[in-house]
Amino acid sequence: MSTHRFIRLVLNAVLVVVAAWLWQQPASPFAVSGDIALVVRPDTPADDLSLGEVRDLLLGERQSWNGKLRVTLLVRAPQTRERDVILKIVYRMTEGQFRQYWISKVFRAESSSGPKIVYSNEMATDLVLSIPGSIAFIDATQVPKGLKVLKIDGKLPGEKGYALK
Amino acid sequence: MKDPANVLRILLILMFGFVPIVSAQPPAGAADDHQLIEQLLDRVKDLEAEVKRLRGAPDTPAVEPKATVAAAPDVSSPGAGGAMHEPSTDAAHDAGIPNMQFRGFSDIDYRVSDHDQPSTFSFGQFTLFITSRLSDQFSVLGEVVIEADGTNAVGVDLERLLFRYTPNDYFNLSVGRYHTGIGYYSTAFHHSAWMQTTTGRPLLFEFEDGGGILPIHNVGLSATGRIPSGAFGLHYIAEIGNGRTSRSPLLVTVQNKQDENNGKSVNFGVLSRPKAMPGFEAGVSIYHDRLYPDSGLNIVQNIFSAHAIYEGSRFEFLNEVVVLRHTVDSTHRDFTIPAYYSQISKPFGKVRPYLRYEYINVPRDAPFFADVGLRHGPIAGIRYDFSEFAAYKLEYFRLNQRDLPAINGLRTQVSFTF
Repeated sequence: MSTHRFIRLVLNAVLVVVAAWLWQQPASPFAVSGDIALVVRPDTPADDLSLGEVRDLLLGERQSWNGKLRVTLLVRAPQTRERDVILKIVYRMTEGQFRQYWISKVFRAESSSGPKIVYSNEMATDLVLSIPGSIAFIDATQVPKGLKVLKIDGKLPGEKGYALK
Repeated sequence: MKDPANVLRILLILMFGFVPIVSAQPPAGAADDHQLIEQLLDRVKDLEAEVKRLRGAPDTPAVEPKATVAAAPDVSSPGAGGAMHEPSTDAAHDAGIPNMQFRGFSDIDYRVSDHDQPSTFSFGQFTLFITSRLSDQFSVLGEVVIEADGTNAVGVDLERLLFRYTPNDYFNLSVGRYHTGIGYYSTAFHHSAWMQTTTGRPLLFEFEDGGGILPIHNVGLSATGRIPSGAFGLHYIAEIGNGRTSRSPLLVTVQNKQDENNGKSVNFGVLSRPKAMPGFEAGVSIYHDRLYPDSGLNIVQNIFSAHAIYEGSRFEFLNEVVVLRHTVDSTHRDFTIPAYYSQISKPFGKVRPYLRYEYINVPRDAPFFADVGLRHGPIAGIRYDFSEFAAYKLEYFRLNQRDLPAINGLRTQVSFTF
């Protein structure tokens, strides 16, 4: 086999591998970050929240968006990275404390229900699109078109200083 | 094909080109299984119909999307991190009927003391907590308790029944039977022993039928909400209800069906949950009612309360003080009942040691609750959460009483939610 043919063969192989790798990457503007994005429907009246406001929403202290639209929390099932990040950074609770918190919250009549559990990012995004006022936390590399990604303290996923990572 | 390069090229094409195609092919044996294919196609059609129905959900917010309900058994089961058990209600949802969520709390106890009462096993309150969201703004909450009384007879009490209107964060209105917003403990733990660190409630917050001095339950209207206050996190409580039965101590203590008079009790409270101190809460409240006992006296009742609590992952520190003042109209004589408790606990993994000191002092000649007298003493115990939803508690208590010997004893309890 000539050197020329061997180089061509290697290049072909590399091109095929690179093409296969690129094909598997989601087409997201936040593809490189791996941060956790806070997503809502485009008609949700919010664009930028402070981390304190995010905490209020997730703790059920704030249950409506502009005083009218009810907030529906969508949280990933246990043992997922999205849930771990939210528990650590926003709730500042362990898994057990999180469960006990919501049992108490509902029992105290401070909330009529706890967060809805979703089992995949696809399920989360489908429900966000379906339920007005809902909010979900998904891997920033898996944000599909048609959803609004909220800024946290003025920063989007992938930007330096973004809180949910 | 002698050229190894050609062989390699063909192998690469096979690897990258054919493997996905091959992997997408049905198993060889399944090719003839038309029935299976038809079933799968039917299933795909069902799922497509389901997705279309979900896409249409925003137009019908009163009924939760079915996908949410599909998630609900785990949404709400403790194991998945939800808050309530939501039974399978697909049929109800298909019919547009609101679903109902259940949670239970209960406890089993054993106590022994140097008092003349024998040691005893007992079951505590078997609490069924029910909620149902009727629409985006209306919901129903019920708390039913099954428990035994001092005669060992088992009875059923409807402890809370609230029809709630919750249009926004700033105004939530409830009508029905509620726990009066006096202090913190009563509206924080309701009828759940599992949620409390200790085996029982402070003397100050004992239920009426257990000899308690506060109007824990009331029937009427209750409004709560946030006050726009930024970092202070202020909330308000405003309540109006029938108040507590006063004619005779032999009557049922809560005026569930018929008020004794036209006068109504009112309660106002303000509390703060500062954003800078998650877990901290401080508040004050004032309750006012008029009481008309059979003795013929007209008595004005005012109850002042203040609390400062911290419930965080590192420790718990509860402090509450309540002052009841009964003023006899005809003589303007005041009878003041001071009461307080302080409780601290700190978790070490699943083990949480705790300590409480409590005090209550009813004057001998007070028109109400004179039998309670002076009581004070410490409680020291340990709680072991052997499961996320079940705990074992063991505590020592000493109760000092006016004109009576002190009581020393042990209480132990298994409490759980389900």
